[in-house]
Amino acid sequence: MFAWGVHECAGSCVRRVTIGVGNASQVLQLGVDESYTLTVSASGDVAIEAPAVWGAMHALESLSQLVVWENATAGYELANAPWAIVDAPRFQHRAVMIDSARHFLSVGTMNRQIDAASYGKLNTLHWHATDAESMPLETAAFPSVAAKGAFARKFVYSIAQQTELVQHAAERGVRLMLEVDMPGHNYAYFLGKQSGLMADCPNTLAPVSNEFWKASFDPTNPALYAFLDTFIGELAGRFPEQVLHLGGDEVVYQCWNESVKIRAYMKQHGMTLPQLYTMFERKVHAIAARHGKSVMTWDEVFSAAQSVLPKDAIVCVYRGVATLAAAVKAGFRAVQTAGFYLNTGFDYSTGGEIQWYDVYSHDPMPENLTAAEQGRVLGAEACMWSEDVDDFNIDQRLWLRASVFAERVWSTNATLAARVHPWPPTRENSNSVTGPADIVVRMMRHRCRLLQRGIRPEPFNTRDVFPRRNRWAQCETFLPSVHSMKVT
Amino acid sequence: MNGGLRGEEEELVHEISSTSSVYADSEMLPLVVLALSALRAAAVDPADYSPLLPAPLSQSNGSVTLGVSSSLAFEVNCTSAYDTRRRSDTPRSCSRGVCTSALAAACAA
Repeated sequence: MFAWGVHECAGSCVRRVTIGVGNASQVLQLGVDESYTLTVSASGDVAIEAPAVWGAMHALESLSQLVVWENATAGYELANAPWAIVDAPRFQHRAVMIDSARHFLSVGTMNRQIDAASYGKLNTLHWHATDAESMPLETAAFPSVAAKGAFARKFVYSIAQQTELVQHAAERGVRLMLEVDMPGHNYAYFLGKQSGLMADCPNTLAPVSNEFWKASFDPTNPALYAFLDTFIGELAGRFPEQVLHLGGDEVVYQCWNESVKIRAYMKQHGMTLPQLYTMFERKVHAIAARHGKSVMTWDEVFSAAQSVLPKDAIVCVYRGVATLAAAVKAGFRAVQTAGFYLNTGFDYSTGGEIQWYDVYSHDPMPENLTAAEQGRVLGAEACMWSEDVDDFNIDQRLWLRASVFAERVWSTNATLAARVHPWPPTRENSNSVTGPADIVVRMMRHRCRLLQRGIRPEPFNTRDVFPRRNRWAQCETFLPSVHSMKVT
Repeated sequence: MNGGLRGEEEELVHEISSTSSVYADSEMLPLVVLALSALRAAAVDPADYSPLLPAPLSQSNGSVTLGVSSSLAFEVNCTSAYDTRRRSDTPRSCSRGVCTSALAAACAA
């Protein structure tokens, strides 16, 4: 548990941690019981009880956060014992979304994001793996698609690396939810030269077109569904997570409308462009179901094609609270990403920067829902689209704000109101912190933890925080590993 | 005047100096700093102390500081057998059927 030599303590010490797990067979999936209790007696006895392994892992994370390095004693200490902690998450789906299609993210970088997520008790990594820019997922059935659809051969996630990521996440209590975006956002399949997939839209697919991102699958081609059956089937076997994200967002009809073949099909079948979109969604959801997966989609699919969405589908909302409310009122489960796009304002977008206090002040749960409707709000995701993010800045761009998000979706509103002063935090009052229990100090302290554990989060501006020279403001003072941390 | 002060105390001096001309450069300053430091410390109710992020659902704590042994031992007790279901399409590195945690593996052992 601890990386450095510790001076053997005398007197009251923590020497043994007893972990009781009620049912060790509970598989890591959406809705698994993550609750736990953690007690530390005044004499140093530590006991963890959890219904499932995943709660016990959260308890170990909490225990590790109670322990700090003390320069004065050159050893680790656990302060303020005895402790009694009863804990459980507010939401069952607590995710960070990373995008390795716009810029390739190495396996090491992805593993670091998984690690950082687990330190905040986030339980899901939503991996947006494919997009117009690249299709880097190797498959045994269609190796050329990734070989040619990735930025370069070295930017392909091999089958072995995909399995490694699944394993790395599972060992940290993190569900790895894969997203393969379709039918739009997939120009890279065109580059992969897999015949029969893409709609024939010559203007959109022109080499000099800056509208390449509007290229789409050809939903009228039976060969497409044969491909997807094999492709999704292989990925479904490799990724044990029950939920598969199939994108569905920003389908621009321009490409389909350009295609002589597709226009002829629509005329023959008396179909409109939205009906074509609906037909695709119905067929691809049936394929996913055949391979044992529930499907998550971006919210356009709910808006345009909810009649064909299976009732176990999960709507991933990015177009506002009203859309989330509409989805759960229609009987679907949903997760909120609106308000949690942490790339916003730091990238090409015109929106304002999402600061830590913005994350805190945004409750993923819409108002005026019935209890049943609230139950269908599964949680939220902090998204990091990577048009302006790669291996070299994702740690700083995503963390520490994603850690704040982690608290937003784990803790109840009552807990936050008690622990975050003033509540709710705003740009105007965010410097008016009140003391060591306050979120600002806990954020500074958590940043030190992340640094200690190999993540490189951005520093927190302590300019106006009292006391400026808080012991956690300069992590190296209290963390012996920071100076020697290997920077790769 | 400030030569012997540490970081937090310097902050207090700054705060006092900027808000009260009475105490600035006063002979009483070290005493005031000490008093304010004590007040700051006393304001941290042990029951309100939480280093955890995310904050837990509920907690209570005391004020005893424990050392942590360098030979910290972990004992795992499981009340049911670990699920060893297999799937034919499961990759080798997830050979238990579902990729799971080291803690779960300990339960299986």
